[in-house]
Amino acid sequence: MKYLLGAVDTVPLLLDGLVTTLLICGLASILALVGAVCIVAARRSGIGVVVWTAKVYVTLMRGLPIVILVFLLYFGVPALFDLGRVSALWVGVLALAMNGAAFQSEVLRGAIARLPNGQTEGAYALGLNKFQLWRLVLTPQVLPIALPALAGEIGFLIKASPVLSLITVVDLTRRAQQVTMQTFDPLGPLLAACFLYFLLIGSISWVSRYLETRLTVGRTR
Amino acid sequence: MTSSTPAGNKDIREVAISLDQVSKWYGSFQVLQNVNLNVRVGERIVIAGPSGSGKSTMIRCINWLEQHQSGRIVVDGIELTSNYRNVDAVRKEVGMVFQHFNLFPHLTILENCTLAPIWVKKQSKKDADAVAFEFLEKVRIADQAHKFPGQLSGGQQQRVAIARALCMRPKVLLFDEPTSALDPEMVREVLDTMVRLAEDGMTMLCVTHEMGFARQVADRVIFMDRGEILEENVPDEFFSKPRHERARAFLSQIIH
Repeated sequence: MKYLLGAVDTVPLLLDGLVTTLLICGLASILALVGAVCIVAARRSGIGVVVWTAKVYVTLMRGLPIVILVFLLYFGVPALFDLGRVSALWVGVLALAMNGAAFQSEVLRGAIARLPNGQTEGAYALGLNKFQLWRLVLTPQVLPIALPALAGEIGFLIKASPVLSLITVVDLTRRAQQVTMQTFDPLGPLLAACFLYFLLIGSISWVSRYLETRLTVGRTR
Repeated sequence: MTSSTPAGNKDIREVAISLDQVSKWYGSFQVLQNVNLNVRVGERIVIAGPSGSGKSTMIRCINWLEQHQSGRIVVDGIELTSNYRNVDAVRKEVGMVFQHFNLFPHLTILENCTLAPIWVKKQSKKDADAVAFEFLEKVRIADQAHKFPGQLSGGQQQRVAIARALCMRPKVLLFDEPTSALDPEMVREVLDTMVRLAEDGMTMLCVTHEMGFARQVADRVIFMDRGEILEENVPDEFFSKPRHERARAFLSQIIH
């Protein structure tokens, strides 16, 4: 009980760390989704070298530990191009976005594969062009299918973000450690961080479920 | 450069679709072999033949869902080439009804019917709605306008698909086995709708196994096998004394 109360007291001390985590993960998620759309477009382009590049990228990202990616971007790339010090926060955003894009592109690809047959032909036969096909026919159907898995990927991304504390980013996890070092309380700050992560990821899946029902309403019996 | 009008034809305006020596291959397999066909405005043509004979491929070439590799296809004076302006122009003139309806499940019946008129023909929503209701009345399904496709029976969905195609006011309607995916008790309502369209003078090309429909409305029956048109005949003669050996074999198999 004492520890729980301690944890509740610690929550306000962690809020600036939470803001950093939110900022990094929010930006990274948006960039990852944009990247994922580009990867899917590349894989569907039918241009050999483009398709191949996208496939290799996805395979590499899926096989690479995110810590290594973060170190490569923070230490390796600046050394290679003589860039000097780079912003740890932006490296964090970039690393999570690059990793997330690969995984989210697989989610989108799976969702597209689950669309009913004949939607493309139906749209083309009516005279719709490719842009209208995607904007009006395919995307509105892909989204509700992909949403739960996309929310899951964003959850993974949030849970991967503490790795950025290794490159000096003071995110929620790092902040909790700092509080521990100042207060000599080994449990309270971590419990408080747990609670905040749980709230964050829980609210994302709640929003995704809400959107999913909103988007699919009335469609089937 | 060839001109886009078939040469040496007196009543050129009357030709809605012309296929001239059209061939197509899937890899080394030839699905269409020098197909020649002229469809006049208002004609009702039924295309019959065993599965894999190229009938669906042929009509899908007419709105460029599949691309022919040699020969010429001219629709309403527009030649189908890889020029996308021509393809778009042809698709505005040619409606298509599919075996599996291909309705958009995320849109209501009304929205299915107004999507293309609004986005392709740039009609106002009000005008598009009015046109949609006119055609939904025609296929006798206007009372379901605000439901989603998944809430309708197969026959009802296919009638909606017909209305959706009509909303673009096409000059030609292509039917690709429109009743093949339906439960038997749904076939009649769809065929009745197609008969009424034929009576209104719509130019129709139907790939179908409904030989009763062919007898009732077709001006001509085209029999295809192995990518070739083997026989073109009026329905009565085609059914009573088919000229081609393979047409006889085909008919003996489908008429029980």
